[in-house]
Amino acid sequence: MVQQAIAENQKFANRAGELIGRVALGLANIGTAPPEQANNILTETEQLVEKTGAVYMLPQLLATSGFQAAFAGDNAALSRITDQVRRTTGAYGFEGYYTDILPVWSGDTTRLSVDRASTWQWFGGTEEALQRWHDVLEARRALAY
Amino acid sequence: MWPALSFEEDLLESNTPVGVFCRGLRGVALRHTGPFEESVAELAAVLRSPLLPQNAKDFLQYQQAQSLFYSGMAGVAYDQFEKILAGGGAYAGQAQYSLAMIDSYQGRFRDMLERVPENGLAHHWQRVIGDVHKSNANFDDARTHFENAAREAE
Repeated sequence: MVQQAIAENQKFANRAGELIGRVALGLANIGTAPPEQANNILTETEQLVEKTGAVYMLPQLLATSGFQAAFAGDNAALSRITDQVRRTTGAYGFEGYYTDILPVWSGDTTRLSVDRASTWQWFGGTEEALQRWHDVLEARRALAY
Repeated sequence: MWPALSFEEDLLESNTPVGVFCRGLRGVALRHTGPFEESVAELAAVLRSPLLPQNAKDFLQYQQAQSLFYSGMAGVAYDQFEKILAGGGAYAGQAQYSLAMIDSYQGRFRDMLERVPENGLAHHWQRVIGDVHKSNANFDDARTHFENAAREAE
């Protein structure tokens, strides 16, 4: 379905729609397809963001790369990407809430249990929301090929 | 759809209300095809023209605010949408939706839900409500709203 959406958007030269589809495809491939496949999609998407200047896609794209690093257990890459997300979302003024989400994928459970004051209006409160995001990684690991 | 918004050079260069409006539409199309920053520049130039009738100007001002947001200028876009909403004109409803979208992108999730109008069941509202649930990892609720959006868009 995602591939069909990408193809339809390409047919109408709708780069904005194509980018959304590409990020979704990259995310869907993490853990469910060979790593190089997800890597290639994310790299191509990054190039398309650069070419079109669609900076609004950067936080989602970086968060997807962060999820990929977390899935692979690469905390150094996750930390590096979290810093990139902080800089990018700070510069453009949106989707800064990913800076709450990415650290919970590091495996450090204190990220969940501390009483964290968050800038973001999480549904059910910060801790509950971040637990849900933590569970997303666990669910993907359970699905992995 | 977007390639269809390409016009003959003669028309685009003509110093007439239609020519200016077509340049504005080219700016709108650039928001979908990229480069996105050229969309902002094109619309800004067009909106300076005295040839545009007010209803065309209102439409393009709304489009310019959208392009500003997609080019990474969320704060400026937000102010512009608020002005459009306060003006109560033909694009006030769309501005309300765009402000809700920015609230969601900026993590003001509860504020976003408060912006949903009582008759907020139109597909675009369902989509933005789905987005806010997705951002909160409430995937069942997100899926329900995205499916509603798809059904109502048919």
